[in-house]
Amino acid sequence: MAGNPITLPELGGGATEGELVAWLVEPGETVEDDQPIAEVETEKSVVEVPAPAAGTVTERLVEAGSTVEVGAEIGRIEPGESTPTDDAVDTPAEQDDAPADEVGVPDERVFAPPRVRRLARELGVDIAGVEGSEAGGRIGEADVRAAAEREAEPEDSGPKPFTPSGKSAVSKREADSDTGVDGPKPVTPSGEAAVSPAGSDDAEPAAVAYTSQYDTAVVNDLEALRAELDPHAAEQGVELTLLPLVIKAVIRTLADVPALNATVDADGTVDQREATHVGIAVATDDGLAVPVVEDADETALVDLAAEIGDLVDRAEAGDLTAAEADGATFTVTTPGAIGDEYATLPIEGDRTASLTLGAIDHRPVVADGEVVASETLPLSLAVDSRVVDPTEAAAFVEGVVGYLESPNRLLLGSV
Amino acid sequence: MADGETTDTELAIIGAGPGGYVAAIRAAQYDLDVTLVERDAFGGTCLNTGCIPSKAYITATDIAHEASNAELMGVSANPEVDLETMTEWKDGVVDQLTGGVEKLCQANGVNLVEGTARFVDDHTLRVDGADVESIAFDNAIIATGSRPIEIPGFSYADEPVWSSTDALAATEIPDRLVVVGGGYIGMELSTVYAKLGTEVMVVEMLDDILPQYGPDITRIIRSRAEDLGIEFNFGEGASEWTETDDGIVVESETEAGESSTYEADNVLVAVGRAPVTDTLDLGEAGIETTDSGTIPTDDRMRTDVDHIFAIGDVAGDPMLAHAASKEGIVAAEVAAGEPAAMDVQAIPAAVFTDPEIGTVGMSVSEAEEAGFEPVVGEMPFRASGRALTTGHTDGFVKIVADEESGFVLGGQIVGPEASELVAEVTLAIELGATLEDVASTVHTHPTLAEAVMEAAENAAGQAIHTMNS
Repeated sequence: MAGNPITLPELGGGATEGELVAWLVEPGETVEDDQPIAEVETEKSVVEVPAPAAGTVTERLVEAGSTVEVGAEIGRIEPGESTPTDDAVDTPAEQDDAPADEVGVPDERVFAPPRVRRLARELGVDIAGVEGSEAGGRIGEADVRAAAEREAEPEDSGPKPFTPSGKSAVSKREADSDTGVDGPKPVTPSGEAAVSPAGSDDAEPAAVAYTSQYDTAVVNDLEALRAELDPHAAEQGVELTLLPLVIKAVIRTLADVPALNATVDADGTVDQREATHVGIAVATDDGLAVPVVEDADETALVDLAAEIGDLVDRAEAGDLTAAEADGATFTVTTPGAIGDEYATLPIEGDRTASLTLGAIDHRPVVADGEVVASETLPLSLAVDSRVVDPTEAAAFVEGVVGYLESPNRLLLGSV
Repeated sequence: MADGETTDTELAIIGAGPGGYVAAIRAAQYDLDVTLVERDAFGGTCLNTGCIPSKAYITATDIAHEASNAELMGVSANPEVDLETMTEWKDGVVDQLTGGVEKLCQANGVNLVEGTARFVDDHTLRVDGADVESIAFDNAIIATGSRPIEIPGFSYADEPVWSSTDALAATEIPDRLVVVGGGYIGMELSTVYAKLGTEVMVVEMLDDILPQYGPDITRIIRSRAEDLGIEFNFGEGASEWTETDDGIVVESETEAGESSTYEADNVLVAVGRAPVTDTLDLGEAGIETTDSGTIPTDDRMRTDVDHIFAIGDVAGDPMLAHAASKEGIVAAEVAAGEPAAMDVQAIPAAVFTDPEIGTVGMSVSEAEEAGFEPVVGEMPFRASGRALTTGHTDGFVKIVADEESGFVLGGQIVGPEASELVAEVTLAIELGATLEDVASTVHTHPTLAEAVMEAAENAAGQAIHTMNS
């Protein structure tokens, strides 16, 4: 047999076998390293099997529809340079020989308007694998954009064992149809619709060991800065609270301590994130909701304030879409969401750290040997101890406190 | 081949029917250099010998028929039909539309070539009968359409034997017409001639008309056709015809070998249409057809040769003008590098019988087969105020939806203006609308369209003008 074996990798979620539902390549087809070559369905999800190397797929040893154990050989590949696929233009080709980045049209009924289906093709998203957040599970533009972003992210950081296609989340029967046509759902911290039925396959956060770090920032100067800037923000129609300033401090510190701006999958593979998407946990009637400010590090303060205000308002009203609560790389829990001072919350989703803000209040602070009442902000940081070193956690808290207590320093790195 | 007679183009399109001309204009909108080759008439079968002329005759004969059957409304008339004038009017409509197609193409910068094209290789066409002898193309779209199928013993070259094209260009109204085939073309033209006073006999191999539809629909159409005087003989295939002193005799046979004979003046053969792919030398371009002559395509309308597309009737079912146009738009956009695909959720179909049929998406049984648990809402036109005022109350609107999610899956409409009404259900399907979305949309009163809303309400058990079962 020509070439090296292609074996079925770990499927995640504890699955030891899966059904190979479809081959995505023909024998003789050249593939790039990591290119999806087959789809395998487990009880929980559909996952794409990546090519182990660039080369030519020489054999498919398993028929579509067969059940395969993890580690079993499913095909063979002759390693070598992958060639661009656009040479297909001059050769009579099978229907499957569409350009590699082209997504097909699902055979089954899709509940999404034409412009959304077209957008999915434009972004290279297989719409059959997109979970709809609209009434009855209808797929909207935001769902497709979120799916595109999810698919794009793993490529930032080297090979990962799997790209969950999310397909299993989409089965018509499972798509929260019990809620009928009630509009967007409130969203829980994990990004799932709060009312989604049992059996949803979003991986439960694995029980991870985490360590905590606590400190208190004196925020008299931060409050003074806020008061100074507020009238100017008001001119732009934005009310400036302390929260966007705190988020700015967090973002600046994440740039200094990037280990906390990362995600980690079930296998413990760390994905160091370049983009900074800050999730803001807010208490709602339906539990915590976590709207996400995308690319928060590239957002000016006044825009950050406007966006946070809008997201928090809508989160409290239960009007967030799933897409707006997806993709956080770091989470900040807001004051009042939980307790008054210190609290350690489990780290949500695949993030490696979570910062909880206590209530800002006058508390006794020792200054120059005297106890004085000062505006203070209690901070509680939880980190995934597999990924984040305690010294990094300490450095982060120290950094945030530093920016909060000398907020003018934020200007140095201001965007 | 003389160099001066070769033209280079980014996109060559063969056939200027509703697939080809629409593709040409869309491609030109994307700034492709487009050459459109037509060997017969711009507008293709649809505009010249299909949809448009048949609808002209259907409307004209409807007016005559309605006028002479309106005593109940206090109108008595005995209209005189002048076939020559009717045909001139029809020709005028066709000329206006085909002329419009030509002007639109030119205004969009499409190069028009009149001639017959065939492939020399996968980047070259040879054109006969035109100044341009040869076209070198980057991409090509095959849009050559279809032609009426002939059956053994019935040659369209013989004068008494009509194809649908001949039936739409008759110079005399026959006293007696045998129609072979009870599909939609046979039924539409049977209705036209019955309303012109012709005795019509339909001979159909199967045991019902309109095989794509269920008995809930065909029963209404057949019953109305019989009221118009159309006779049906099912389970028979036409085997031959002979000329007599008094016209012709058409002989038919059952499967068991029993034969019958029908006297007539003409026989219309309407047993389907076959793709026109035999004139193209497709093999030279590396393209193979199926046994039935259609060209396999993918969801981008590409053939096995990626830069050559096939759209419309040559790409197989459904052989409908609006499907061809959509496929043409997809092919043109893909050729222009756009992320288009033939991803429509449903293609509606209309039959212009009396009453009309408009259907789209899934029937109840199709929805069940697809794994849905369907719910159906129905509104009979006899409960519609507007239908009563038109004098046409046969038929219904049925809307099929997924019970759990409410998503609209399909609609079947029989009745006045069903061909128009089906558009609303089609939009609901494409948008992923639910029954509640349709039911909550205010519809103008008094209109037939209210029946669509009422059917959606009925599915939810909330219809106002019918009892909810």
